[in-house]
Amino acid sequence: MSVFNNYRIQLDARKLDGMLKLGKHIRKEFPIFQNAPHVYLDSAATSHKPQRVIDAVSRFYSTQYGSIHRALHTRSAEATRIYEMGRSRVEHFIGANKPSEIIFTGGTTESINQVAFGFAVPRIKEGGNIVISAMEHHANFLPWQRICTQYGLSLRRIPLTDAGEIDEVAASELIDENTLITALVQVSNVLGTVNDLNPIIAHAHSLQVPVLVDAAQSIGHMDVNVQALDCDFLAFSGHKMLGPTGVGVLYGKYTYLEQMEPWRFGGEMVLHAGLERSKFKEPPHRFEGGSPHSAGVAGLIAAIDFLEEAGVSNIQRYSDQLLSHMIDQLQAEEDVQILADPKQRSGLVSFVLKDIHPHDVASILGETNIAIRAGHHCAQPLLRDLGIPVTNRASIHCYNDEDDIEALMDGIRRVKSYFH
Amino acid sequence: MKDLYHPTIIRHSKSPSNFREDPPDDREVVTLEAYNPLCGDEFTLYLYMQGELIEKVQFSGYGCAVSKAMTSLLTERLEGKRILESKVLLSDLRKMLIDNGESPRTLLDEFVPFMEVRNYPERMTCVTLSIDALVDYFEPNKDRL
Ligand SMILES: Cc1ncc(COP(=O)(O)O)c(C=O)c1O
Repeated sequence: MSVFNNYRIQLDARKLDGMLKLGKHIRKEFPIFQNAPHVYLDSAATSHKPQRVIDAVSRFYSTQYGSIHRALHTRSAEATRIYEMGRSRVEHFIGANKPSEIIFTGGTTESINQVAFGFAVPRIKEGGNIVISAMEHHANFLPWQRICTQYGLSLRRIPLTDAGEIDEVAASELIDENTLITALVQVSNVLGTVNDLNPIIAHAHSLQVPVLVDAAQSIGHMDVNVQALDCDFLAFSGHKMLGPTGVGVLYGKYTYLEQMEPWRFGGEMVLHAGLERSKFKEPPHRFEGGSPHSAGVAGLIAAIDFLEEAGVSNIQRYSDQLLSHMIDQLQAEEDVQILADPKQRSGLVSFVLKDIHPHDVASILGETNIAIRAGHHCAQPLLRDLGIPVTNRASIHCYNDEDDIEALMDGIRRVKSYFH
Repeated sequence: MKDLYHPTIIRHSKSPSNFREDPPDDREVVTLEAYNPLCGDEFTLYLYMQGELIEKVQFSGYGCAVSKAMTSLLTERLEGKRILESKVLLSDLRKMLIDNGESPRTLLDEFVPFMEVRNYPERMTCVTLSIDALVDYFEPNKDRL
């Protein structure tokens, strides 16, 4: 029985209050912490993997492997069964209506590009605009910028409030009847802001504008439910939710998927390939051209098992407490400035140390095996708005605990001792 | 890491030589941009040339301790040098810091602390940022490795 099972009882929400040590036990399920001990505060970039995810990938290759949807032999049937089971698991995990609303991709980036080039481009009308927010990751900025420059649309960026949230009032002015699509991030990978997207989505829908939500940072950290959000598309990556790299998901409301065109052409996505015209399969298969990352899906199933067993809302409750603790500590420390002050924050915080470059901070912390991020976090337009070229970012997941925060604070004091 | 953050590097990053907040008014001055898209570090170097002679070098901008200290030392070192000497100096520096670590080191003593960066390849661009901007200017046709 896994260590996590032993501690499941402690993940009972009522018993979580004030608990900041749980991560220490959860960490035992993640072999990298034994094999290469370190303080990991960079889960927003990518999360570590529990043993069962690693095992699932290994088991898939060693006992279940074969091509997907192609051959008629048993191996292929078994591999296909697991792959399609993955689709149903994701469907339930995010509350979709049916498995065919789930498309497997390489990750968030590919998911968004599929929507940009397969859905938005064919619907372009003259004088149209695309609306994003000022806090988008490059993955939810560059595809739209590309389309806008290529087809002469205007790209509108919803500004942020001083607290670092998407400005709802501005959003309702910028999204209008000429808006082709709106693409918004649920949790900012730079500020940690949890955006309340419901009112914006409701406004967009009142004008028949479809909405894509970038859930790369929210998935696995909070309950992400496409019915509750009422989004039309949702994109996320396996590797940030304790799953393997190279696999991700695009959810789309089925009626929109029927209207979406394939973006990657090749094997498996076609029903009949003629010399002049071809007929493509129904969604989701027409969007999964080529041999998919089936082993990634096997691992993703194990990641969902892990998250569901622990309970995403329990993880959220635990990590919210840990995050507040981290922010309290950072705020109490002299010369530390925290970016943004949103009502709700998830999993991460960006900060700068007075007169010390974030790269120097991250390098010196790295010396004692404390991993935090320094950089522009693939969100250069946002940092330009904030007038800060780069920041430090510390991010957490269920395997972190108060000792990690203590190590971070000791590290920050050591950095200051170098320079002051 | 303590070795990368050698007292020389800390000192030059905290109070760099020839640093200025704003660009000079002087229109004659040669302006070089040293920008690292990876980390957003961005310095502007100002070369006051008198024919073949570099009379003075100043810089402005934003960067980490390592890139700032390197730029500071370079401005000191290039002052009063001829272009030809500067080319040799920059090439020796690249050899010592990036290539094999062998070089007429005696001439480059104050740069020795930067050799530590060879143990931190992810920080190499911090060291080369301003060197490369200068090499590009002095030898525009030379391919860098
Ligand atoms: C908010 C957000 N969107 C998109 C991405 C891109 O994800 P991926 O690189 O897995 O495609 C990231 C990853 O950093 C992210 O944080």
